[in-house]
Amino acid sequence: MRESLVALDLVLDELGVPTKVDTFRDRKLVQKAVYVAKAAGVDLGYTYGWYVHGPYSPALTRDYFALDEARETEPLPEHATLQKQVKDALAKGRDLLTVPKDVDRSPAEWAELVASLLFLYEERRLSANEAHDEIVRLKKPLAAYVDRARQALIATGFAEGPPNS
Amino acid sequence: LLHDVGHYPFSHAMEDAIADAYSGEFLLSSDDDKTSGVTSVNALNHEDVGVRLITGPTEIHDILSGYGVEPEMLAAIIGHKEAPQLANLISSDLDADRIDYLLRTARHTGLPYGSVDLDYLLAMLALDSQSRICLDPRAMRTAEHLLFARYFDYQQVAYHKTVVAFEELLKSSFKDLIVQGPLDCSKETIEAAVCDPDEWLCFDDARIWGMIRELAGVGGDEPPVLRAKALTRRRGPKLVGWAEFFSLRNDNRRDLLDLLTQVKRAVPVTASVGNIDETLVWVWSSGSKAITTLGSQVFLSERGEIDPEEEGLAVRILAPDRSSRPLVEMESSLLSVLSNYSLGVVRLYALPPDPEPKGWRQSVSGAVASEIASYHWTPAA
Repeated sequence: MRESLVALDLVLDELGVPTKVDTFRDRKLVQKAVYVAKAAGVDLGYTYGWYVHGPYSPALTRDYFALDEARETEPLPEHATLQKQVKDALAKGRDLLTVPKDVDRSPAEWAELVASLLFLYEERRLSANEAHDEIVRLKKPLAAYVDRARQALIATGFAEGPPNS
Repeated sequence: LLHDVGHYPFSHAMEDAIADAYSGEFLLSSDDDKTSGVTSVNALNHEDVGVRLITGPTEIHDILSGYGVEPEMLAAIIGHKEAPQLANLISSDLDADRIDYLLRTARHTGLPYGSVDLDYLLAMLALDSQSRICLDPRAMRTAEHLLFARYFDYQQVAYHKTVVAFEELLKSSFKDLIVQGPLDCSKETIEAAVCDPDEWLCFDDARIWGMIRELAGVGGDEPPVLRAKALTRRRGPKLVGWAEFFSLRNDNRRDLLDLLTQVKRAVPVTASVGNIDETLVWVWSSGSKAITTLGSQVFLSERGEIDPEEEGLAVRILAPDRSSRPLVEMESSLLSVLSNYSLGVVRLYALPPDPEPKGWRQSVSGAVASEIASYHWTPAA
């Protein structure tokens, strides 16, 4: 198995994200989780753009289908494991991707929300208020949880500021 | 013109090798328990390199600025940071890149498959009510022809058995050069190089060939040396066996995965019978390849859940009310039927000892065939 696919597999596992990509919801969760990992400092080398559901990488799409194929046709290399620094960096990503108990959304939708906010802060350089308005404008089903997502970003160290800013 | 300006020498083959070589730093080797402290893949893909060439202190940046073109705006389109309808000019079933390479390949290989009617396609381009690029209905057949042309081009050129053999060998050799040290494609090295025209413009195929020749000249029978020698002597990996079949997507994928599992398990036998190292054996697959990008990974039978991002890659046909529909949804299009089918190709290659012993390929392909239970599989000898 290509080492880039091994790394992708291990990163997803460390984030607590299943590698199965059977449904759009599965694939969306993988896309956003790898973006969150990137924001946490674990950059697998995928370039993300802004698409219908927020941050999305066509190259990652090719690779997660390749990983899906590889996992079905060969075993993972024995003893493959991530370096400790990588695991440490991913811990906060795992925390961010955990859907808070007061949020009635699927893991994929929550991941879309937090990853989209991160993208708007980091790539578009929008302020907290501008990013809030953009999400409300573009993602009505998620609009009710934008403030909660910002709180989660601050609590996990992905964004700065008072929790209610 | 600029979206591929960041490609490395040998294009995608080198990019794949770089991604693979630098991903290894991510992983902890249980053998020596050493940690590198790396938390990011220390390499750039060609789009990232392109963005740096356009926005950095480079000649391209100066020329663009001189003509009043904002380099950052172009980089945003290439990096998909901007409106998808603009980005789709450079990445969709109907993008400029695909049309260009089809015509270019047709010209340089002498094969007619990529001869698409570019002028008519350009004349029929339109925008729908959501500002998505689409085609006037009169160009539907031209668009179908484009997609067929691309499909045949893949089968006849990109998937040609010898092209694939040398591409796999090249990728392995590039990775050898990176792992062994002469080739440094780390992020910081490339970032510095793109700002230095004397360095960047000399970072070309010829320089890489020089490194491969040097490695080949080391002598001995270590696999990296054997791979380099195979390249310099133009003796690529030999086809041991293959399967190629066209079927309904779900069946195609299931059969392909089953076959791939068996072929991968046959690698040790190939190496053992062929008396070569296992790293001189390659399993190659096209994946389950559909004729259209839309649904190439996600089956159209699951249309209710199709990725909106992927749907954006489809060729769209304009309707009288200025809305548009993907070509594969038009019932008068052949593609509405054919897009439900896929091509699956699996091949096993091995690099024979040099000189190749008499009967080597027959004995290896025979041994492999006895390990594989599939009526799709054909021994090469």
